[in-house]
Amino acid sequence: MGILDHPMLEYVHKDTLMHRMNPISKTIFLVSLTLLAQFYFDPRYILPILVFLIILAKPISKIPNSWLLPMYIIGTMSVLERGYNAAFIYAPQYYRIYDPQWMTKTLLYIIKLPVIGEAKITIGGLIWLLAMGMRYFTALFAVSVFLYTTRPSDIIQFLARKKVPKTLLYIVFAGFNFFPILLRYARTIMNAQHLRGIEFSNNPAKLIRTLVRLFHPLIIRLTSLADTLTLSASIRGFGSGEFSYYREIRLSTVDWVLIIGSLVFFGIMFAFLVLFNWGTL
Amino acid sequence: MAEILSVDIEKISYLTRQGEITAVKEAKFKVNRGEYLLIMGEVGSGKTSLLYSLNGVIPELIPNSRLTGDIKYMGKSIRGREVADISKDIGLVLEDPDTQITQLTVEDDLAFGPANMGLPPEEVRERVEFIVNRIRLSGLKERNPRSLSGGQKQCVAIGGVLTFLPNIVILDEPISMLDPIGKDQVLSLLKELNKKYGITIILSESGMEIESFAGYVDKILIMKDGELVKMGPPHEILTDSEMMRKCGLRMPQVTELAVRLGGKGLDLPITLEEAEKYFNQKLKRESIRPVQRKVVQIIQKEKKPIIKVKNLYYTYPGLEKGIEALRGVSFNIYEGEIAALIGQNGSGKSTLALLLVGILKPTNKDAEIIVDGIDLQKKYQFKELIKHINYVYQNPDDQIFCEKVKEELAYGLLEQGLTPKEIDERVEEGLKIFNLKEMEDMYISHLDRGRRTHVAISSIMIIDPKILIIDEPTTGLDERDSLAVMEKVKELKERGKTIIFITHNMNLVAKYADHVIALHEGKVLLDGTCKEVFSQSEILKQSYIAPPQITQLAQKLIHFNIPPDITTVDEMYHFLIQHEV
Repeated sequence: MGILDHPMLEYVHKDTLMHRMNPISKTIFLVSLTLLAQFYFDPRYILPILVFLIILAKPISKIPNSWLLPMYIIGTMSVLERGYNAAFIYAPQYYRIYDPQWMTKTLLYIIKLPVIGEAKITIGGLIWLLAMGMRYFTALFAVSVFLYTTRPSDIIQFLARKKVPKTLLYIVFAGFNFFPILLRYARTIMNAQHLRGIEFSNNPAKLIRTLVRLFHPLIIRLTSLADTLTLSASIRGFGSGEFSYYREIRLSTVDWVLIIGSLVFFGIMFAFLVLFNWGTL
Repeated sequence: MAEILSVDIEKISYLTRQGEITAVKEAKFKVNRGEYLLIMGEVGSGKTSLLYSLNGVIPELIPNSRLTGDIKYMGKSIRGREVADISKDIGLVLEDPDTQITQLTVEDDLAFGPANMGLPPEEVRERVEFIVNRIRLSGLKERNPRSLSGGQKQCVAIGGVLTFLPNIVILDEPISMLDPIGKDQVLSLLKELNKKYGITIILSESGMEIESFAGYVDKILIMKDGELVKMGPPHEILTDSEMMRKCGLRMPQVTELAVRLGGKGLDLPITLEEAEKYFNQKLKRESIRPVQRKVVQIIQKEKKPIIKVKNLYYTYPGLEKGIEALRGVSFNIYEGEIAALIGQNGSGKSTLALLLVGILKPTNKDAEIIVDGIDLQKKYQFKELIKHINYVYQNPDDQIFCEKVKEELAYGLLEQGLTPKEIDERVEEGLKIFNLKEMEDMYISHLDRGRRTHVAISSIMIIDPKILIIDEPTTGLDERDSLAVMEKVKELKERGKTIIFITHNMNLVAKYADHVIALHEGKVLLDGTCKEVFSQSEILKQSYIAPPQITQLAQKLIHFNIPPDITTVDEMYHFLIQHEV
């Protein structure tokens, strides 16, 4: 079975703690943790949040690696892209907690560029890059837990009840549908091409040619996707007025405790960040 | 009955690169509240365009579509109303369920419509439960609809509109992908909603499934080339053999038999029940003597099997334990035969096909799949395998990658290391299979579904596989195109090819298949000749399969010594003539 035959980046019904959790308290809980990690630059502060989210994703929500594959790819690509910036992080004034002299120690001198300046690998630059990578993966794991365990219909109907404008609702609706549809198209096209003798090769030149062949029919299909989604939503009465719930989303005492706990924790940690430089380098 | 819908269309057209194409020339008719109306016509007769216009999808949501005229719902024009708003009154089920399904679980998809209407949650739940139980979706509530079989998806799409309970339900070819008993269940549910709640039902059909509809609808409207030909009660329409023939449609099998035996007028039977009464009156008990019939067709066991499958299991990922599609399937397919793979929706037919062509791998290690000498459980070259066995998808658009017909046929050959001259020669041969030469430079997107199916089959045939699997070759086609496809299949058999076709159309099975394998819940239920399989109606019911209408009639008339394994109208006619009935 090919990797594309597995569900990816979409809700999968399971009976886990995270699946059972109220989507509103879950959203606030995950957003608080993710947002907090985005304010930190010190890997020691981000690491516990990242580990906690990995535990939420893997043993608790039971997300298989095949589902997470696109997230791993996006995370790795983002870290690689940030590697470029890391080569320019060496000014001593960046550092408030760590010894600036130690942090700016050059490990490898790369090049001096006009206007942009010197590019070099420093200890501080590597720590910054590590922190950025951990931030990305924190966000990606949080998004994964959310997408894997939350029914899109609950979110859309919750937003609709909060009188979110129809255009925005359409965007959310299309967003939830886009990846599964894209994946289905790609899977069908690849299988059908395979049956016509087209194989994915390890040779980069051949691989590019094969990918171009995949993208052409894929793009043709995706161009009509917006029309298709509008049609399918409209004939089901989407956006025509009042919405109701299939599953009523009520907040229990536990949910309120989780929401208040998440907000208080975020508030305290943010205050310590501002007042005592917690989480800065 | 009060009028609920008034249609006054002068023209429906589309603007294309080749100019304006008219789909409906003139359509003026009225529909009364509580009517059950069938719109019937060949592919390209304008049915879908007409249906789409009834709830505003044309011209509002179909790009480059134009409508001249007006549609009035309860005396008021629907112009100016948004489709989402009209859909609360006039629900539409699209032909392609993938376009209609929007949610990630079956339950959510069924609830989507009523929730969008702002109904109280208890009522939304009640409606979902009612529909789930009525259209065999109860075990699938938490499944992702996209992981279901084509027929199951069609049920979800239909259910998703029925939970709306709009005043009018419009369904575009709603049962084309359903198993025979599933077709009956959906149509009887529609009838129940129609009678109990006065819901007006309007559906379309290209003529392939006429036996299923005949007993349910109140009125039939016939279309040809974008124009209305005739509208009236089913008996008036379906017994008008001349008009039906002119419009490229056929009568129900029992009607055809009665007409061929000299019957005339509105008393002709159009349903199985009517036919039972009719022939009980017409046939003389003493005229047919019991006949000792030998089994006419026997699978040629002396021929060597070209496909051997033993103990095959397949489980899809998803949910907690995965979804078991196949559970220990074993069978043989013999060289040069046409084999039909039948079974209820979700019984594992398409999964089995994808395993045979190597796209999927068995999930048990001790499975055995040998295709034309290639052991698929051992290492093999996929490029080599596709020359032995290949697969045509149910939806031709799933395997069309190029803009023009000729390019599409050449597409698979480019990777085969052939010289340009060899490619040209093969393409020329491929164009001949379905007489596509005249349209070799045409844009495929401008061809109708029948022609696109021809392109899809040709593009695989050009690879020249010894075994060809065709998944639902006639879905979305009318009688004429379906028979054209199946006649080509027969020709391929005569050229020594082995064909496996997956279908829910038992008339085609009866007419073309040498060998039938019926699947039920991932296991082989029956494996034999058409006659062997269709004569076991009770066992077939387990897999929601019903034999062709004519076989059912023969089984109901068994007290006249009519053999219960008659499978075609021709056979029944000749049998009765032979016995001077």
